[in-house]
Amino acid sequence: MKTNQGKKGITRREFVKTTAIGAATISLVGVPALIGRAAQPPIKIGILMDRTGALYSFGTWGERAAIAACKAINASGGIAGRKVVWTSEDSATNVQTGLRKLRKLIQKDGCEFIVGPCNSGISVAAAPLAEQMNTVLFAWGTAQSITGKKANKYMFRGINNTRHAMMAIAKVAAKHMGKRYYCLGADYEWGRSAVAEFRRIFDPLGGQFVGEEYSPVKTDDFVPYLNKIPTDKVDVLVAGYFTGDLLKLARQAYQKGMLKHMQIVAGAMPTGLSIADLGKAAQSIWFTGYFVRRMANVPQPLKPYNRAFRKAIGMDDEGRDIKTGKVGSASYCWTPWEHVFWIKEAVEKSGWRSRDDNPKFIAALEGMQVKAGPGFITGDKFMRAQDHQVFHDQYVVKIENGNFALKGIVKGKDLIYPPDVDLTKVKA
Amino acid sequence: MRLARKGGRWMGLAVLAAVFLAAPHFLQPYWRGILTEVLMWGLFALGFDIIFGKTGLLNFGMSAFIGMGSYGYALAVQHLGVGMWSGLLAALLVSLVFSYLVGLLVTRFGSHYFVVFTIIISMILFFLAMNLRGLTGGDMGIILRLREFQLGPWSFSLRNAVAKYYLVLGVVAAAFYLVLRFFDSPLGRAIVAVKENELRTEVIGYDTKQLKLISFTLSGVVAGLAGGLYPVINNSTNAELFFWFFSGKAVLWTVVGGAGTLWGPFLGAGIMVYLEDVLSSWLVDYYPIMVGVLLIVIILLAPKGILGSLQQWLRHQAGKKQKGDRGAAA
Amino acid sequence: MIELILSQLANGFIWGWILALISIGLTLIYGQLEIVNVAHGVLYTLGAVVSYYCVADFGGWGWSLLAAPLFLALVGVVIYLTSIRFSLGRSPIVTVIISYGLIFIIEQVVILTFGGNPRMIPNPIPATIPFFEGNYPVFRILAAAFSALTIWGLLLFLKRTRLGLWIRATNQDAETAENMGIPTRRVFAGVFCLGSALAGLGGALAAPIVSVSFDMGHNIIIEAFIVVIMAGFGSIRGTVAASLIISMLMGLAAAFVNPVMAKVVAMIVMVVVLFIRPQGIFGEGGQ
Repeated sequence: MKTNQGKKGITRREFVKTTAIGAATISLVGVPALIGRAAQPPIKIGILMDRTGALYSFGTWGERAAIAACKAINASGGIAGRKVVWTSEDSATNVQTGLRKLRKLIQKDGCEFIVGPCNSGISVAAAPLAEQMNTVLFAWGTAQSITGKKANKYMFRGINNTRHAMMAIAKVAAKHMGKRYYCLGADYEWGRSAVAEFRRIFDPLGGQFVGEEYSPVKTDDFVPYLNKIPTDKVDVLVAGYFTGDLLKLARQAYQKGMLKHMQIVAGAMPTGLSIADLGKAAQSIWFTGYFVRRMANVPQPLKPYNRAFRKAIGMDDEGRDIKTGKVGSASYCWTPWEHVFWIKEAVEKSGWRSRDDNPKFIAALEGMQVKAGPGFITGDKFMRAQDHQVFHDQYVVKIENGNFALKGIVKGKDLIYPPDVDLTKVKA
Repeated sequence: MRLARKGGRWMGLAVLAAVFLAAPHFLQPYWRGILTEVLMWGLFALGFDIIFGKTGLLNFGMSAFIGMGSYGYALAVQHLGVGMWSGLLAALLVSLVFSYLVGLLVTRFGSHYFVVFTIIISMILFFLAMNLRGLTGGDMGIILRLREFQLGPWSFSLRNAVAKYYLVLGVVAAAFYLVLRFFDSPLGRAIVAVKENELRTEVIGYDTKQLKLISFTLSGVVAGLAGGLYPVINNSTNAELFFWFFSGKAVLWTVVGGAGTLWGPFLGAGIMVYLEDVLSSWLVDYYPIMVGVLLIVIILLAPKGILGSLQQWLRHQAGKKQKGDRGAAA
Repeated sequence: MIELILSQLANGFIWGWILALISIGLTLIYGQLEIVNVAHGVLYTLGAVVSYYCVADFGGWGWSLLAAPLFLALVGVVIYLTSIRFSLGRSPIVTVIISYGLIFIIEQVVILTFGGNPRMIPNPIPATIPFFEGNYPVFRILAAAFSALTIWGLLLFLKRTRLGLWIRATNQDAETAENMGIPTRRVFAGVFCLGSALAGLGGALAAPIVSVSFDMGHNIIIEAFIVVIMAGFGSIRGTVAASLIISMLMGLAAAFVNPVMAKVVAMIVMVVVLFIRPQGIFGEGGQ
């Protein structure tokens, strides 16, 4: 299999010699940006995001975040002294396109790492391909199977998954809400797993299951399904829906007068959701967030890092695009940023020089602990070795007085579950 | 004169064959991968060309066939543990049965109902595929673990991109050849006659419903075979393939390349996949608009597609020459 | 159980009127121009987007009942003049491809302007009325009533006005109509605009109920096609009836079976009906 860059390789002596001369030149001339001129080739990162299609707004912000991370890293010396260059491609919320662009990034553009899209279907299909082409892929999707049934030695996930999210909200719900619950979800993998994961935690905590239903993926009118819910016998409605459908569902439920006592537990993070749009339905919805949207809710020690991040990607304190005012995915788009920093950490820790060192890279990443900082802006984390899944704090928010209020933080260590797979037994 | 033309045709085919056989050696890996994909998509579009270009029925539900084919292969390989060839056979059988049954239902209808009908059927399959996650894996699909395939005494890795290319090329070329021969045969020509004038064909004594059914089934089998190749190339499949978006692609590629020419679908798939690939890297925010505009422009200005327009032009030239000859003789 | 059935039927009935309005544009355009307009869904989306901007910038959703159809009529004119009119009389594939291409263009334009996030419009009439065990939003009832009124107005228009007469005449036999002095070309353009305007109006009407998002057309186009094909292409009354039947049927089925199956069942029922009566319930003649 052909690789473009890494094959050249540099002996240690050459490296030391060049660096010494380079350092001397820099200090003589005082020009800071000589990184690109170093004898070492740059590290190429491929950014694969859904820039068109249904997940367009995630993809746009994700790309921004990844590129901003590359730039930030370059400004502070690159990865192991090597400059970072990147190529960005559109996976179009479509598996076939995603696979094709993955091949392009790796085979044509010579990318050595892939920061992948939030579409789980694409990641799951891409992982075997990435493995085949000896390239490590960082997945942004939250489907359980990415670090479960469909886990792959060459795929890592730097964000919690649906299981964590629902575990967190189930724990918080058990504290604040009644125990009788009904589940409504979208009939595809994510919707169903959101509900299943909620039940796993809520049932042992006293949850009383009243019923469940799954609506076809392209549904507009939820009233026929809402009609079946015996509202007076239900305290919690678990909603396995993403933003757009959640809006519809919440509004329609509110209009039917169902939300007087019943609370909605949303499987989705409030990404891209405009609170004003929810109207009065807003006060009955609880969200589980992989981070927080509002600066006000960011834990104090993380605020400076978050501020720098928002500045780098052009987002304001309320999670909106500085230029257009459109709401972005603040609680979610930090992941591609951190993925780039995971690459940096693992390269530097393992001494990775080229693809041939991927086994070392993977070994370094497995079990790696990182601390909050300009790179890992959402706090301390660790990457579990067996399933390549990161564990971090999960946030539960609710809308109060017209804005998101933090209702609970469930620590990463309280979200640990037994791994579904053991990748340490697989050879890289 | 005719001998020379026939000789010319053989030469042309030989050159084409040589190009395709040599391709992996002078193409970069990425483009080789694209070509492999294009061969598969071309076969898929060929399925559409059979029912539309040759028979005149607009089937907008081709995604049903490619989905069935791909799942036929995937389920056979994953659950029955068979090898690649048996998987392809499974894909063929599944598509055969499915397209025959659907064909029985659907070929009773005329063109406009046919369109919507076929869309609805593919949507039914889409919802079912998404719903029966235990079987299909839903939108997460099935990831295959099959590692190799046999050819005679040799075994090739399914990770070997060059081997895969030749495999796909072989299967597609064989299928294409059979389809070409079919349309040269009396049966094939009868089907084309249905497109040109159904009434007259019936009057002559053919059972046009039967002919349409045969064509529909053939179209489904060809598309299903392409569906079987999908997981061979990608090591996975998912319910997304059933969505009517893919049906539209088959229509697109065939129309751009030249409906009815049988070669056209491959050309159209090649050009459009290449164009989309280049445009989407270049103008991420605008390329869907460009694709849409391109479609409209092509269908209005060159409705016979590239090959179709070329054929027309050549015939026109030949006609002019003939007239010229006759004029000279007169 | 009775209560559930009744509330499902009632909701289906209400939603059915709204769906009918959305679908009528599709059937009109087909009936007149023999065009299967797969872009109907994005025209509906545009109408909803217009109503979003009416709420955000122009002081109220009510304006969109005027603005959406007008804007869509304009869009319809542009589409007709730049592409559709060249496709008349040619193979049906031409317009299918054109409308398919339009989907790409219009959706991307919506993404680039309106954005990729779904938005919701505040309910213009937040009142509810008590209904069985819960409440039912008054807005839906009024929207259904408005829809019914518009359809009735449309039927009157077609029957009583000269323009309506021209449309019906051209529909029946374009050549004869042309010979009688009816400007059939203009009639075609007019019908295309009318169909587009109705799609937009449907979108504006549905916007407060469903969220406004660039891909909202994908959901509705399937339902609209089911309705139109069951009704028989070209029949307005048929579209209303089919729309009501299908909505009520799907709602009823959802009361008993899993919703996905309900949808599949509805589609299978459609297939069966068509098997028995290929021209649709109310269609005339064969294919």
